Amino acid sequence: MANSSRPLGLSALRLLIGLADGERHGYALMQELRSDALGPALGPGALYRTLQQLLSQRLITESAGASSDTSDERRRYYRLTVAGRRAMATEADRMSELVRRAVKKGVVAPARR
Amino acid sequence: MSHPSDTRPIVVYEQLMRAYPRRFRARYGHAVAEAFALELARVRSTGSRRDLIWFWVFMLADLVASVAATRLWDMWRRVSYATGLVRGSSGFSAAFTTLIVIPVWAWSRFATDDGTHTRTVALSFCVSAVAASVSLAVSRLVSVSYNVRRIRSPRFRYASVRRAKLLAVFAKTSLGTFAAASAAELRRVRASEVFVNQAVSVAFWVSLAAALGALIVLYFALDALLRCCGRGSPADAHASF
Repeated sequence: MANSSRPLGLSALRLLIGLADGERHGYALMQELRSDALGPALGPGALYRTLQQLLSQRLITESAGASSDTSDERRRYYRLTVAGRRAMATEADRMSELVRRAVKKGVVAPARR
Repeated sequence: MSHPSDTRPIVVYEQLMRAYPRRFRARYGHAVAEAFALELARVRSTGSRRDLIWFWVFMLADLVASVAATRLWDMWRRVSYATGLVRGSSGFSAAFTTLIVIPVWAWSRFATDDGTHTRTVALSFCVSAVAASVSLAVSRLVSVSYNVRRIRSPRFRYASVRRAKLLAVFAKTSLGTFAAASAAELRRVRASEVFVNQAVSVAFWVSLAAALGALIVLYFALDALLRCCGRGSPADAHASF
């Protein structure tokens, strides 16, 4: 189990957020990370290494994939576990707190409502 | 991508992927290669030569970084697993304790002596023992990790591998110890004194090797006893790793 007090890396958090709305395969995650522009793009090696770590921490799990997609049986799909969703929320809270402090110190302007 | 020239980069990339640990390659190799091929097709569709060059730079940097990180992570996992195994090993614990207890005793024996030479000798013992402890621990971890991998092989021979590894442990321990002790002493005393101190250390190491040898014999006897009792060797318990 991942230690909830230990911060996740940015890449790991971005991958977890990418899986927040359902299961995805690796390449779809890679495309999403490239388009979100919230950090460096991940190459295939870094992507699957991070997925491997998330799997070992039991924050994500492999699944059989959508039944309609029969493009490749060897393609691996991933989805969030309960622990993964919790870790993602904790990390998002931590980042919100960081932004709140930055706003308080005048580093960034507060978000408009 | 039916033209042979189209698949050449993928073949090259797949060859480079051999640098990944075997387990990672077996599990993710296909997916990594597929992601590479899809990205290559996307970049090619833009028709820009500059994009293609950047693509290769990015992919090679990613490969180098991820191979290094994956190998380190893989090594860390093995060492963590091996640490768990040796923690329960009576032979290892006894040997390690011996290596800690003897220098403490040596220090207490010589610390009260006013002569600076005996202090240096005592220091030599301590440096030697600490270096030996570290090298013994590392060698043992590597050896157990190696055994765990070998256990999957049907030709695995528990005893012979174990004996070979124990010899390696002794060799590494001796070399590492004398190198570390000599280096440490050369910094504070004359070279001639180092040889005197190391001669004392040789006597110390001969006696220590005898003690360790006895422990190892005991360890093998314990293994044999476990086999006779039908409990299997300690390593058999981890065959599913």
